[in-house]
Amino acid sequence: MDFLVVFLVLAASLWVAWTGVARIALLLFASAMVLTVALYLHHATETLPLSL
Amino acid sequence: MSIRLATKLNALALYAIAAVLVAAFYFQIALGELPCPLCLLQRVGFAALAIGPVLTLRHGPRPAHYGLVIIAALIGAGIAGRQTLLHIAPGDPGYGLALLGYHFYTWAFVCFAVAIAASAAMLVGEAQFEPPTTAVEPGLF
Repeated sequence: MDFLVVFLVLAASLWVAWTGVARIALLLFASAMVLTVALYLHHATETLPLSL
Repeated sequence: MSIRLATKLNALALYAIAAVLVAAFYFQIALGELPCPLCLLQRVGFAALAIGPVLTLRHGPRPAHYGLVIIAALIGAGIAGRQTLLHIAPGDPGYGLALLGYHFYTWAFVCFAVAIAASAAMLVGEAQFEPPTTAVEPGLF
C-alpha cells in the first residue's frame, strides 16, 4: 500500500511534467522523494533474513 | 551543446530508463523474480530519474532538471548501495538472480552512478541553457 502511494505520486509527477506546470511536477517529485526516504528508513530498521 | 542535441540525449535517457524498468518487470513476471522492498525502492529511483528528462523535453533544458536527476540518482544509489553492502560478506550468495555476474542491485548502483556522471556531463554544455536568439551575422559595416 505504501509503495503504491509512492508509485502513484511519481506517475502523477510524470504526467504533470509532460502535460502541465513544471512547478507542480517539482512539488510532486519532492513529495515522492520524501516518501521514498521515509520508506527506506522504515525498512532499514527491519530484521533481514541474511543468508549467513 | 545545442538544444537539439540535449533534447535528443534526454529522449535517449528516457528510453534507457524505460528499458531498465521493462527488464525488471520481465524478470519479475516471466521468470518469477519477486522484488524485495529495497528492489521496489530502486524502481522508484529509476522512475524518479525520468522526471528530469521529461521536463527537459516539454519545457526545454534547464540546470534544475539535471539537478532533479542527480537527486533521484543519489537516493537510488544510496538504496542500491545499502542492498549491495547487505550481501557483500564472503560466501553470501546474494539476493535473486545474477546478470553477467552481478546481481540486479549492483547493476542498479552502476546505473545510478552513470546517471549522476551523465547529468554532470550535460551540465557542462552550457549553450543549451541560453535562450534561443536569432544571431546577427557580422557584416562589413
